[in-house]
Amino acid sequence: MRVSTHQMFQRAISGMLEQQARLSKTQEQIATGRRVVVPADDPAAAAQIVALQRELQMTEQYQKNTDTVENRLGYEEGVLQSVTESLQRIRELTVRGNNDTLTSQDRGAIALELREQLDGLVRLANSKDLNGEYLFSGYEVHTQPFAHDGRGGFTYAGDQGQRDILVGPRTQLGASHSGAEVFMAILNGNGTFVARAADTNAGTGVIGVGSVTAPAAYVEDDYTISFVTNAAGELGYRIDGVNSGQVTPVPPADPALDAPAFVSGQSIGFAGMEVEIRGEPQPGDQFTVTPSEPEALFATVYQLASTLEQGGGQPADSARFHSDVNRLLQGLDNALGHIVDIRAEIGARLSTVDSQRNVNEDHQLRVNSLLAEVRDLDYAEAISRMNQELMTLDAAQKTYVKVQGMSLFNYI
Amino acid sequence: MSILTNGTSALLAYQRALNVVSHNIANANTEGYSRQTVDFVARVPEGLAARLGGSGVEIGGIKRLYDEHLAGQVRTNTASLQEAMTYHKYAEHLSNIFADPDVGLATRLQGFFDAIQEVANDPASTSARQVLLSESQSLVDRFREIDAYIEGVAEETNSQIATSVSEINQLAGSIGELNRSIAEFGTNGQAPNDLLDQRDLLIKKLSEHVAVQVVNQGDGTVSVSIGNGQRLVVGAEVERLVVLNNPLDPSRSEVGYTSDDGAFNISKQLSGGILGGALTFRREVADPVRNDLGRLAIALGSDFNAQHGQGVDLYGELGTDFFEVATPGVTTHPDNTGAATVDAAITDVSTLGTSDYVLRFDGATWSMERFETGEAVSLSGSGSAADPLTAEGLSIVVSAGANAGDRFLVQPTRRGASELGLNISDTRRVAAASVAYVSEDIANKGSGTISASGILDGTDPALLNTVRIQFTAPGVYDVVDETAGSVLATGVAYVDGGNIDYNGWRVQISGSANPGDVFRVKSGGPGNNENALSLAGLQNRRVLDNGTTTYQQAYGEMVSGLGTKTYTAQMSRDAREAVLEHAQSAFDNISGVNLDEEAATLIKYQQAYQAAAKVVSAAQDMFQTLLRSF
Repeated sequence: MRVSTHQMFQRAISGMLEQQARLSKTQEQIATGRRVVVPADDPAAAAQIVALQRELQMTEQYQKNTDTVENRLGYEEGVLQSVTESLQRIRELTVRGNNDTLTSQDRGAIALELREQLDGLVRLANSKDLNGEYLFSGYEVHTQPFAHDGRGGFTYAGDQGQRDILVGPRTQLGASHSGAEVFMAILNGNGTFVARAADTNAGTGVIGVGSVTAPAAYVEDDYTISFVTNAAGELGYRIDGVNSGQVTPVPPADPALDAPAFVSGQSIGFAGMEVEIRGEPQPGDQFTVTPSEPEALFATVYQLASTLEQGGGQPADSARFHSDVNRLLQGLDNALGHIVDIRAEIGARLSTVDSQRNVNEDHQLRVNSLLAEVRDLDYAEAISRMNQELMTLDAAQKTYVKVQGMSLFNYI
Repeated sequence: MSILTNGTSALLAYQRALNVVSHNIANANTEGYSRQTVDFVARVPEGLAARLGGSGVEIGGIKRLYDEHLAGQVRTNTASLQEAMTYHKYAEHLSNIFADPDVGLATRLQGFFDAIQEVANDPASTSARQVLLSESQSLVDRFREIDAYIEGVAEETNSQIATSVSEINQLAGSIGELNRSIAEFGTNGQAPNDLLDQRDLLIKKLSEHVAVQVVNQGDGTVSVSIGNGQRLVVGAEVERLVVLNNPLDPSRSEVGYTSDDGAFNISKQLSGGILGGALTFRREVADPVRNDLGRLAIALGSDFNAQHGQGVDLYGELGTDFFEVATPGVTTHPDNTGAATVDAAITDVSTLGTSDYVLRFDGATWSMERFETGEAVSLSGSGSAADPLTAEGLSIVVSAGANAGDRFLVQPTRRGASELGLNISDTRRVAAASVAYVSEDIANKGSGTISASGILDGTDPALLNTVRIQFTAPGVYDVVDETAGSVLATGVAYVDGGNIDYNGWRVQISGSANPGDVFRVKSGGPGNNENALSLAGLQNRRVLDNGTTTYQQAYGEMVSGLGTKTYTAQMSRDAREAVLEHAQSAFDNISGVNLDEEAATLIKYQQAYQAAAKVVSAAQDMFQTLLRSF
């Protein structure tokens, strides 16, 4: 076979050029640390890299969002911590004020502090977050949520919106509570019903908060417990419901004549509930048992302060005072319990945030290692490849010089 | 004295032969040169000499070592290599842009969606809203930049087409000239070897631009044709190619062949060479990718606008269009004789393709086909406003007055990326809050729950008012518009789970509600992020290709699609390079000059020349001897 001289040169040169191109590719890979520098290096991997990088960035954003949730909930938790402390102080003061040995002056002083605590509570409920937005006004973050009309009426100007934040591709987490949920809707009484003494009572009967003993038998209604003198001439009581009609004594017994005798401190049971009246009621005295109503936490505190201010002078007033304080203390406990529940929920959300953060971190790790696998260079392989390419190039150059020197013309 | 004649003939012959060797050596590196060899022929003796033993040597001819078949292979493979190289060159440009993290769209898309989440995290924050607007602007800019880049590459192909066409014309002209000179030599006598070499070199150069077919005409000349047999050169006659603008899409150059009826477009028939590579790249890569990008921009823009319109901004108004979204482009063919106009709109992004279409009227019905391939697309509807023509996510309304043969180019997504714009500059206009979100009053005693099921009439003036649904008695409720302070209905009978429609929205209440229970329907609120969450949710929603692909997946597919095309082009370029090398070396093995061989031939002829000189000198000696003897 004959080979043209030009062809020999051309072939040697194109061989060297090709080796140099390979070497330069390998050099680029080593310099960037990546196996796939441009999509054409491995088109399937290129698409995967785009997807994985997106996954990483997305997860990064979710991680940022978990921080946001944590900050917001942490801030709310801080405020609710202060609310709890204030409520405990209020409870302490109330229990102290419930003592008969106190003078009306003492009670006035306590009431004054209660009012201060109340102002503090309203201030806390009107807290703003770091961005100057109201924490407890739902979606109406620029509207001050709570206002006091000065006569014990508290209004809520926010709404019931709760801000959800994405912390994972399919996980949203509440990062706030509306003020309505936290402060406005706390059931008064024992949570099921409220027992009150009538203002007109002349005796010294004090009613406790009572409880539901048989939930299945409980019938919701407005009940009145009225004291009468029964056929035996004893002090007895009758119970009537607005809808239920005569409850005790059980019809068809005569409501007055057959009224069961009253024993101070003994539970009075009806319609699945029990209440306890102590002291000496007089015939004509009335107590009401009505279903619990949601009440603003502030209203409970306000009523406590007013009740303490009025105090109890005459024995009958004192009895009513104790009835009221009993009822309001229970309301206060309900409020405390409610705030504790909300704080527990915050705690639960924070732990969800934590676990979601771990999930996200794991995900990032997995994606990163996948990305490294798909995109990054195996240095050992690349360097040995480069050495081989260097050697080949060297050989090509040497043979070129040798072959180029060979010519028959050298000999003639 | 035949010794002297013989010697002299040999001297003359070897002189010429040495001349040929020197010609070979001189042209060892000349492109297109084929080595030449000398045919020695013993002179046919005449008369007496025939019986006395020969009359020397003469040159029968100088042969050009050239294999027509191998030359043809070199030409074919040159054309296909150039095609692959051109295609690869352009495709590589594009694919690198798409995947570059600093230049590509992926980072900006993610930044955009991240910014939405930041707004969802803190909807009342002006700074988060500002970041969203700037991220949106950079997303829009990026769409436009990439589109401009693709357009730039497409324009490069236009200028490449123009350059190639002018080179082809020049080469064809020179080939015609050479054909004329070759024909003048005639078929008898010594062939004009160097002219033939020059012509064949020019044909090879021609095949760098486009695949050619070469036919020998028998008189030494060749005819050269391209495409489906369009004659470029016949003998000395040359046809010219011209650059035409596509009548339907003037932004694209086409190759025109001039005939008696004027120039007609032969782009679709051309293959091979730089021209074929540029045309194929434009057809297979630039156009689809640009449409693909446009589709992504349109899908993102219109979906985002739709969801944004479901929200409420900080002015307490329904969200306005967030993005400016391109509408399909329609071009009327300049030759249309009718007066019909065509109006196209996108009705369904999820079934939208990436094709351009040609809409035709045959005098009775409309038909549609893909612009590049001519593949028919099924079309339904009549084209009236009430019953538009529909196909592949498009709805097309045609006005009356079309004549048979009228054509229109419909480009649904071509301008999608370049005409994407940001419509909002006021941060307060970002509609992060939701419309008609529902809540049960915290004081409710019953177990009733309320759920929203969407907006029925976005234009209702009272849509955003706060409405209270209050149960007045068991199973009976009133509806009160708290914003307007009006009563919308009283004493409505409650149906568990039934639709409750007022002010343009629809909600449902289920479960049992007690008298006094209140349910509210409310819109807006500066801290309301519900619509921002829905907007952020678009990121993971599968909206394209019949609901199988997210935006980012669609972009990823564009990147890998381009990568695959580039990779394939690279592979085929390498393969064709190897094939061409084989063909070229097979050709060179016959036609190339080997200097060692020439050196050997040189020595051979030199020695023969010396020997012939000796013969002449011997003849002289003999003559002298004879003279001296007298």
